[in-house]
Amino acid sequence: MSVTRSTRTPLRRVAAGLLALGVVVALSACGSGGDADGDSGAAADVNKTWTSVDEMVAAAKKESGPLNVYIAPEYAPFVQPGFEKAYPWAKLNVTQLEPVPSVAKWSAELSSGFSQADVVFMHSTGVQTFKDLKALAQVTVPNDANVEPALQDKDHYSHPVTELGEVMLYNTKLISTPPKTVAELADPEWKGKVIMDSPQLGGAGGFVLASERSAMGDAAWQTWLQKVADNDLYVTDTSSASYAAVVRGDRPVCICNYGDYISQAPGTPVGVDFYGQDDRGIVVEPIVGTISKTAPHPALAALFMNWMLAADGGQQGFVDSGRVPTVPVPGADKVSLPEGTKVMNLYEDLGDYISDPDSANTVFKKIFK
Amino acid sequence: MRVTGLTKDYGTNRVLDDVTFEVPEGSVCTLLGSSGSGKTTTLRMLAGLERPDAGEIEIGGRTMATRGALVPAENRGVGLVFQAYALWPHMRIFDQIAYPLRVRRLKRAAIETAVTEAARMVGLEELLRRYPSELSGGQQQRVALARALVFGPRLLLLDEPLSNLDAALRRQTRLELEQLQKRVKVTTIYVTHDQEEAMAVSDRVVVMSKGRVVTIDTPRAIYDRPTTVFVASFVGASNILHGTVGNVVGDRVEVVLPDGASIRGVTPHQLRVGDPAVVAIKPIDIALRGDGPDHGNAVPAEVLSSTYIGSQIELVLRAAGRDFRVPVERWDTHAVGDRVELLVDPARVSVLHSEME
Amino acid sequence: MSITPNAAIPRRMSNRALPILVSLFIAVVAAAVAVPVAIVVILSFQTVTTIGRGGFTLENFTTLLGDPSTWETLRNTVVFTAGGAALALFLGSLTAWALTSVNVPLRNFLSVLPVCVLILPPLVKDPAWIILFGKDTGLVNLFAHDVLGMSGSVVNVFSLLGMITVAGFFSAPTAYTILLSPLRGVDRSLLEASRMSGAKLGRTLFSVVLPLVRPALLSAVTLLVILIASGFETPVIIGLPGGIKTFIAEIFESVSSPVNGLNYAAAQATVYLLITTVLVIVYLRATRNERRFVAVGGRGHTHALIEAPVLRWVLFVFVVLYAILGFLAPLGVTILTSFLPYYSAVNGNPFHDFTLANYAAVFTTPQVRSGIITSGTLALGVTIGVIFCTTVLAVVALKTRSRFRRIAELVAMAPIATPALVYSVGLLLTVLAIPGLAKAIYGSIGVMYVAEIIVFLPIAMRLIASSVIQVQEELLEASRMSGASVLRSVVFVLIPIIRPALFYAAAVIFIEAYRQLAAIVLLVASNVSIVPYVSYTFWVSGGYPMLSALNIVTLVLPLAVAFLAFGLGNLGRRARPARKAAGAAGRGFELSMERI
Repeated sequence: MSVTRSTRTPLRRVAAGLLALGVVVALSACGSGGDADGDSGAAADVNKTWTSVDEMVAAAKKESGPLNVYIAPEYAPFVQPGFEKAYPWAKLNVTQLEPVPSVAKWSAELSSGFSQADVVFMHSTGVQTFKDLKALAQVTVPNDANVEPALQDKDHYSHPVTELGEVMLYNTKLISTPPKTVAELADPEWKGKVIMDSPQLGGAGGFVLASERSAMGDAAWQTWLQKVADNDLYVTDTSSASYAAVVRGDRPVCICNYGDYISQAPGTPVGVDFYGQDDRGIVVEPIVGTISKTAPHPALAALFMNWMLAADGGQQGFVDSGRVPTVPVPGADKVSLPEGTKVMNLYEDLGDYISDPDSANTVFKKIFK
Repeated sequence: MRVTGLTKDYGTNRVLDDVTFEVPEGSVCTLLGSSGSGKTTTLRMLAGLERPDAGEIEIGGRTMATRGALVPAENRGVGLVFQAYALWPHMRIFDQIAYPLRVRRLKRAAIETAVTEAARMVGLEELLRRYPSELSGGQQQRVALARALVFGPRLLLLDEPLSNLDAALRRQTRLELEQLQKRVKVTTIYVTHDQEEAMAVSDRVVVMSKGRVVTIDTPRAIYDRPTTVFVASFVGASNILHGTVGNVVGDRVEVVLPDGASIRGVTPHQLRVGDPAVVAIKPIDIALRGDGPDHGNAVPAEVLSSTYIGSQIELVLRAAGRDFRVPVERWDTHAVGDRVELLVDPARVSVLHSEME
Repeated sequence: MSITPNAAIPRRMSNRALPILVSLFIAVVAAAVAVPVAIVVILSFQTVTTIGRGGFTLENFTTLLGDPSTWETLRNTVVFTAGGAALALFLGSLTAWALTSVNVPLRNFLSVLPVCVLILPPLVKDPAWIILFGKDTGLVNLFAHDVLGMSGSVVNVFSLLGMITVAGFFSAPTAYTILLSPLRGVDRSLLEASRMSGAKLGRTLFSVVLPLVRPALLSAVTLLVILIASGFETPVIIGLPGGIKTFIAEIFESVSSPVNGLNYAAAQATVYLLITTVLVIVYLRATRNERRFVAVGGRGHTHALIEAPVLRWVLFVFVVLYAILGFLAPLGVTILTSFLPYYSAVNGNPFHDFTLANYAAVFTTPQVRSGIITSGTLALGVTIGVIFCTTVLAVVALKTRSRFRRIAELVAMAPIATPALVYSVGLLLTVLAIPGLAKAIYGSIGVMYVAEIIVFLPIAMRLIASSVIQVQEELLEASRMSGASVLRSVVFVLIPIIRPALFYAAAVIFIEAYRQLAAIVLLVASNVSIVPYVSYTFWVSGGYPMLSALNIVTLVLPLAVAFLAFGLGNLGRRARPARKAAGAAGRGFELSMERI
C-alpha cells in the first residue's frame, strides 16, 4: 500500500475522462438519428390543411397524452389556463423558454433524434434554421386566414401569434422631436443620443437596422452601419433595458417595443415615434408558433395553433396582457398600433434578414463588436 | 498482549524496526523513550490507528494484526486515553462516557448504571451534566479515562498521561492511576518520556530508541543495572565517562580514564583488559569527601558552580576532564573554585563495553 | 472487577460495504461533472451539434482565435477580472481582519453584513448601482451637479473602472468568508512577539499576519478570479452600455445565435476552460498549503483582539461604508423605486408620486406565488443534495487516507472551471446523447436538480472544507476507539462539530439556487415556473419599478431562510475553547479503503 502521488491524479482524471468520452461517443454513434425526417407515416399526417375545428377536435381526441409546447414565460400564464379551459379534455405540457434558448434547445433535441416537442414558439428569425433541419410541418388551420397580411407565412411553416412593433421611444423631457427615419440615426444630430439593444442579439435593434439593408444595398448599408456605430451608440442587452434607460434619462431616444409604450404607467414622460411613415413604415416582427414534423400529437397541435389565433382564444390573452394581436380582436384598440400606421411587410422588406440572420449578424459583430 | 517484529517505514524513514515484546495479563508496562523513539507509533499500532508494514499483534489471545490482515480500531475493544484527552466538545460528560456503550447497543438502564459507576470510579459523578469546556485539565483526563474503561477493554493504553500536568497534580494522578489499575486489573500500557513516571508505575519497562527496543526489564534492573550505554545515559541522568579497561576480576572492573585517574565499578558484560569502556555514574550516587563514607573511588574535582534549587543544591564539578552534576544537601557551603574529591561506591558504578550502544 | 463485562461490539456492515458505496458515489458524481464538460469540448471540434458526427474540425478555433475582437475581449476580461479580484480581496480581507482581530465596536452585528451583500442578487445590485453611479443620470452625479455645482460626471459605473468596482464590492464576501478562519487562528503570542521586538501595528500586519494567511489569500484570489470571470450579469448589464465586452458576454452571444452558435460557444468555452483549469489547480495547491498553516496555531493557543483606539473607529467606518455601498444602498434604491410608477432622473429628484400599484400587481399575479414555491422547493432540494454530497466528498478528501481522496477533492472543485450556462448545455447534450437516459429523465425536474447540485458543489466545498479540517484527528480516533464505525463517527462526532459551517453553507446555497437561471435555462421542466422567469416577465411588461417590487417580495423567502439557518447553526452552541489545530503529522482517519 503506497501513498497516492499527486501526479497520478490528473492522469487518472484524464483517463476517466477519456473513458467517459469513449462511452458517450460509442453510445451516441449507435443511438440516435441525426435527421428529423419522419420515417413513420406520421409525417404525411402532420402536413395538412385543416378546414374545421370539429375535424381537428375529432382527430385530437384520438391522440393520447399532453401537448408539448415551448413558449416564452411571459405568455405561458394565460396560454395554458386559457386553452385548458376552452378544451377541458386536452392537457398541455408547457415548457417555459425564451425564444433564444428554445431554439438552442430544440435544435439540440433534433440533432440527437430525441424531439418530443409538438409546438415551438420562436422569433421569426429562427424559422429558417428549422426549415433547414426539415423539422417543420406545413400546416394550415382555419384561423390562419385572419392573420394580418403583412405577417402571413405563405408556406405555412409558421403562425404569427403576436406582433412586436419596433418603434422609437423618446424621453419627452429631453427632446420634443424624435428621428423621422431610421437612416437619420447616422446623422451628427443624433450623436450620443440613441440607445438600442445589441444588434447581433437579434432583438429590436437588430431588426430595425437590418430593415435598411434591402433599401440601401449592401455596401451602402455597411457604410451607414459604421456611421451609426461611431455615433456614440449606447448598447444594452434587451429592449426592456433600453426602455428603462430612456425613462431614466440616460439618452433621449431608444429603439424599443411598442409594448413598452402601451404598458407604461400614466405620467411616464415617454412618447412614441413611428418612424418611416413617409416610407415603408415601421418594423413589425412576430413571435411565431411552429409545429414539429415529428410532433407526437399533430391534430392537437393544429387545434392548439388554431386556438392561439382565435380572437376569443389565445389572442384575447395577448390583448389582456397588453400585447398586440395578429388577428383583429374587438376592443384591442388600446394595444394595437394606431389605425393607419404603416407597417413593413415582413417577408418582402425583411425577407433576407429572416431567412439568413447570420449574414447580418456577422456584419453587426464586425461593426458593433 | 504480545507484539512480534513490528516494522514500519514512512518513505525511507524506518520508524519501527522489529519491535517485539510481551505484556502479561493484568500487568502494567511502560514504553519509555524520547521523541522519535517509536513509542507512540507502537501505541497507535496497538490501538489499530496505524497499520504495521510487518509483524504481528496479539491482544487477549486474538490476533489483531498480521501479514495481510488487520482488525480495525473500532473492533478491537481497546481503550485509549489520548494525550490531549480528545473529548467531544458538543457532548455532555455523561454522553461522552456513554458513547461506547451506545455503540454496543446496551439498554438505557444498563448504560445509566455503567456510566455512573465509571464516573464514580474516577471521582466525577458530580460533573456528568457538564460540557468538557467547563472542566479543568485534570477532570477532562478523568473523563477520557472513564470513557476508555467503561466498556471493559481487554487492553488500556495511555499516551503520556502525566505530561500536561503540573508537578503536584502529577504525583496525585499517578497514585490514582495506580489504584485504578489495581482495582480494574486491566492490562495497561503507558507511553512516556519521563523515566521517573515509568519507574513508578510499571511492572516492566520497554526502553525504545530510534524505532528499536533497547531493553526490556523491571524498573529496578534498568535503573540500577543498565546493560547499554543508551539506557545508562537516558535513565537516571547518569554522568558518562570514557576510558579503557585496566583490570578485570570477575564482574569487578577497573577503568583507566584519559587523565590517568582510575575508577572501579561492576559490569554485566564480558570485558578484557584494553577494551574501550564506558563508565556510568548517577549524580545521586556521588558524594563529596567529608560528606560520607569512603568506598574506594576517589576522584579529585573542582567546583564550577553552585545552584540552589529549593530542595537541594546542584553543584557542577570538573573532574577527569569533564563536568559532573552532583546534588548535595541544601545547607552545603561549597563555593566556586573549591577543590574537593568525588567519592562513589564501586557497586554503584556501571561499566559497559562502549560498543553496547 | 470491570464495569461492563466485555460488551460485544454489534455486527455492522461498515468495513466492507461502506467503502464500496462511497467509491461508487464518488464515481457517479465524477461522471456527472466530467461527462457534460467533455461533451462541450468535443462539440468545439465539430460543426454540428450531434455528438460524434460531422467530422473533426479546428474551424471553430481558427475563427475564434483569428478574430481580433476575441483578443480585445480577452484583454478586457483579464483587466476586469484581475482588478475585480484584487479589489474584492482587499475589501474582503480587510473586513475580515477588522471584524476578527481588532476591537471594532459592534463587531458581532457587523459580521452579518458581508453575508447580506450575498443575499441580494446581481440583477438587483447592478441596476441599483446604475441608478446610483450611472454617468448621465446617476444620483451621485446629479447630486454633485445640482447641489455641489460641479460639472461633468464624478463617477461613471459604465467604465472598466466602474465594472471593476462593482465586481470588487460584490465578490468581497467570498474573500471575507475564506479569510475568517485563518485570521481567527492567528495566535496572539505571535503578534505579541512582534510588538516586543518593537514593530508597530502596520509592520506586524505585513511581516507576521500576512505571511500566516498567505495560502488563504492565494486560494481566495484564485476563487475570486474564477467567479468574477464567469459571472455574466455585470458584463451584460453594465459592460454592454459601457462598450466593454468580456468573454462570458461573448459566449452568451454565441449561444443566442441560431446556426452553429453552440459549436462556436463550445470553442469559446474550451478556451476558457483551459485557463480556469490551471487556476483550479493553483487553487487546490494553495488550499493544501492552507491546511499546513493551520497547524501553526498549536495546542491551546488563544486568539485575542488588538486594542487600537483610533484604528477601531476607522475600521468601523470602513465596514459600515462597505455595508452601505454593497447592501444598504442597493436595497434602499430597490425599495424606493418599488413605490414609483416610473423611474426618471431627468428633472431633479426622481422619488415622488409614490404608489402601491406595483405591489398590487405583484400580489395579484398568481405566477408570483407559484414561482416562489417552485423556486423555493427546488432550492431546498438542491441545498440538501449539495450539502450531503459535499460532506461526503469533504470527509473522504480530508479525513481519510483513501486512494480516492484527491479525486474527491478534485471532483468537488472541478465544476467551478465551467460557467454554469456551459455546464447546462453539456448536461443537456449528455442526456440527449444517451437514448435510454433521455427517455427516462429528459425534461424532468430531476435533471434541474442535478445541474444545480453539480454547479454548487465548489461553493459548498469551500465553505465546509475549512471547518472539516479544523476537527482534530484525535476526536475521530477517540470515537473509533470507543468502538464506533466510520459512519457513526462521522454522523455523531464530525457533523455535530461542523454544524455551524453546514448551516452557513446551506444558507448560501439556498440563496444562490433560488435565483439561479444560467444552470437550468435549457433544462427547465414542463409546467414549471421559476422566480427568475417571473422576474423577467415583470421586467419585460412592467418596467424597472415593478421589477423592484417583485424583487423585494421574492427576497423575503431567502432572507428568512438565511436567518433560520444562522439560528439553527448556532443553536445551543456553548462557548468552546479555541479550536486546537490538527496535528502537523496529518494522521489520517483511516477507512479500510485501501483494500478497494
